[in-house]
Amino acid sequence: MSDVHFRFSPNILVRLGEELNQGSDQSILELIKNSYDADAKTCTVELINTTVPGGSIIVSDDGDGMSNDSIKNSWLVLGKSTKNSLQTTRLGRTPSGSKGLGRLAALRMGRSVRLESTLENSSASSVLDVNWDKFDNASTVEDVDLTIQSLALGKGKGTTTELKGLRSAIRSEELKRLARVVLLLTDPFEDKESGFKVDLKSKEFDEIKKLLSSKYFDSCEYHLSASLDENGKASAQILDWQGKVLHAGTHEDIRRQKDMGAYLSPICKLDFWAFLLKSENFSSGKGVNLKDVREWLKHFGGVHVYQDEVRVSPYGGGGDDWLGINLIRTQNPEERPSTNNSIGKISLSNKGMRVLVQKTDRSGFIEDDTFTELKTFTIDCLEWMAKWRLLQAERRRQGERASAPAAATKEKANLTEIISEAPPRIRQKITAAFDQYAKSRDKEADNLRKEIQLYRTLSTAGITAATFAHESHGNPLKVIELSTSVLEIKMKQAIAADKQPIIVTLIEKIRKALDALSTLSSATLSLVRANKRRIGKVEINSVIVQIEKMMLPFYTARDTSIKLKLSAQNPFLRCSEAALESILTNLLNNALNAFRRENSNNRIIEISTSIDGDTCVIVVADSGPGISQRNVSEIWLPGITSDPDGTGLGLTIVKDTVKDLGGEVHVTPRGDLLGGAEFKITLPIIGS
Amino acid sequence: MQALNIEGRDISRVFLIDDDPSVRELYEYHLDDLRVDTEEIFHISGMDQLLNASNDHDGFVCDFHLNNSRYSPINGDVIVSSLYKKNIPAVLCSRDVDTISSVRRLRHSIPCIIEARNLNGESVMDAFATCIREFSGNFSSIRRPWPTLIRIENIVQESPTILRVAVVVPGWESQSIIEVDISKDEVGFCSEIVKSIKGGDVYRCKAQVNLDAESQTDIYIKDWISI
Repeated sequence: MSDVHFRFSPNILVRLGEELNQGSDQSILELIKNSYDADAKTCTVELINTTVPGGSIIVSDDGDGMSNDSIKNSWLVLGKSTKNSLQTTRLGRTPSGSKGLGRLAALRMGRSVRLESTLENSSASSVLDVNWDKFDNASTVEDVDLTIQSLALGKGKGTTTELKGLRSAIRSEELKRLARVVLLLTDPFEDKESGFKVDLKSKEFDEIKKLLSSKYFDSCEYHLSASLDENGKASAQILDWQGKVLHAGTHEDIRRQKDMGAYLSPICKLDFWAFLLKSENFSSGKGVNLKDVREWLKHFGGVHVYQDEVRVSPYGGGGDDWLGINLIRTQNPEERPSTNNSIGKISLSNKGMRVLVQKTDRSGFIEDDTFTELKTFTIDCLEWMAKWRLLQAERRRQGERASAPAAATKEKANLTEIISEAPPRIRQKITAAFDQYAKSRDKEADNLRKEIQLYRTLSTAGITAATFAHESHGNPLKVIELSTSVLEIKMKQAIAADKQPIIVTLIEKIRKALDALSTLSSATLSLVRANKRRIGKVEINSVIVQIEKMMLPFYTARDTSIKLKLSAQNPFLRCSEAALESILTNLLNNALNAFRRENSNNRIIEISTSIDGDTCVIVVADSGPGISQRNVSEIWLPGITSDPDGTGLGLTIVKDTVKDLGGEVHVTPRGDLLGGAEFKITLPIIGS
Repeated sequence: MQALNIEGRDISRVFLIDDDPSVRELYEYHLDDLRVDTEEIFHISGMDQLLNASNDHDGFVCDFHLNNSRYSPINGDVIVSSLYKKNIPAVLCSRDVDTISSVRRLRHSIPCIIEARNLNGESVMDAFATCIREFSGNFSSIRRPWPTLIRIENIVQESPTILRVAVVVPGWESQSIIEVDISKDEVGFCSEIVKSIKGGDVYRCKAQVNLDAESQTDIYIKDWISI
């Protein structure tokens, strides 16, 4: 049997139409893109009763229009595209739509479609009506006959598409999104007219249009302008709000990959504006309101991508952070932008040797190597700018530190002058009160300075300990280990069997000591590992178990045992692992030191966790002598210690850290559990 | 000196790699009883140097941390894995458990890691035998790869080339978190992983894992596929 061919069930229309549909905003945008591709100057989108199902949408333009044949051979053929990204339209536009699949999603929004298209200088219009219900009742798509009529409608050139009987209502949020994507469709960053105007008849559009027309680029703190040339070499400049160059970088400065190879991505330009959204930056006569800038960035912030001046969704769209800049900011917040305080665009023409290909469902570019390289280039540029900003911030801080005493002296002189103008009757009283106030502030500042110095010393000690731990963890321990093994082998060959046990015992002692050394250095390294300082989900029980394991050699050497009574549930919170570790290790150290001072025989530490509503209660109790200080509240103060060799900082760190985590810590000097000190920590948790 | 016949292959020379000369010397003592030639590598310029200097009758004992000094631009895991890919038996001698998550990326081509304490002629010979058997596709059950589902739960660290993730391999142990490095060059969907985790979701994909591994140290994950 010949003359057979594939036929399609109407279900395929549902698959391709509804299931490829990215949302009503994206569907309508496809029709607008069709108008752009038809060289229209104006495209009007009219929404009639769309707040409830059954409404209509009319998209009309003054573009080139279609003949009966074009409708038959192009518009009605799905999956085939006559649009070629290398070929431009009559007005020099690069076609933005493709394959007709996006259009199908739009057309299927209603139960029926009416298409009217008129060519220039033509008295007749081509009219096509599509009733989707007929397809639903047919067995194949081809069974439904469609007719293109030629009617004298007296219309000028252009195309009107009317979607009738909408299957669902269009929500205000979707309209706002549509307004946003429509306005961003043709590059709004430039001041020039794009030659393509979309008129969306709804109040949401007017609000957003007003917002977009206000451009706040001049209020930015820094403008990053970077580009990639045809050889994949990057260059970048950081400009101030006036466009003056503050810093420039070459490919070698920007590329973070060691081999400094070219970026294998299309020629492109990146512009990125970073804002410092602080009220003091907007109060000095720039005539710009911080709230307006925030609102503007909220709608248009993020890094958008423009191919031949037409935006490619979803990059930089609401909630889209394709470069992960918010994640980078979370990890390294200082001087790094987020999508809420920056706006940017990548412009590319996509016509060179390396080309980005858009996905069929119009949800961006296919994420192949070329796209990944483009992303790497962008992230590298942002990272290069962040490093420079960090350097500036550090210089600024140094400057502030140096100028602080001078500023205080100047302010004091000012105040003295003002006091001298006060009536003599109260002048003396004010002076005395001020002197008292200044004295207490100086004392406070002095204490803080001492505390900072102590923290710095401890940090340095910690860093040095980690460096030593790292070194000893490697070769020296390995040399002892290997030498011991060789000794054992040689001893067995050279010494008579009856003389061997004593040497075997000695070798065992060396190995035991090696194990202890190895654990001690691992513990030190474990405490200073960088990822422990990152904020994330931290499971309280598992941190306790890890610490118990890590500190095993410490408490074994002190004849101490640790009992864990952990909740059967799994309480967790969002913090850094280091924070929780510092609370627990300091309390454990505290207990171990108490045992040492008192030389007690019964050395037990108990750590328990339990859940009480939205909090986790951690109790660390010991069997030591308890707290003998008369004023128990003083134990939290820095420098207060009953251990002459201690730093007096452990419990201060515990209290500060618990407070940072939004919790509370209480101490019972002699608790019921084991008779010694009992610390009860209550931390708010986010789950268990 | 003589040649040792291991799994049908004659091994007549063992190269010793460590940035500390005294450790290289100690390796020699440990391999005394094998009665094969040992040769110290005094400096490494790159992988080509090692591949050009060796042949089918050689084996390697190699330390992990090598790039701290000017001794070598590459670490032991890269060396052992590259030798394995060229069918040259090699064993990593390391006691550094902290390196496991970075080593895991190449662990499929590092069949054996020996702790310094357990290094001797017999353990090295066993390790070479394991390598040679694997060269002909003969994997022990604990090393055999199986396609399985991977659940990425968290991003531990990110660098321009590497994504370190915390994963669960339910087919191995549904309660254990395993840290592993993913090379961004080799795995094309790293950005999707980041996006998903950042959005508060886990990310599921497939990979080849030696599901019969007895300890987490021995687990490898290779050939990542998105689903």
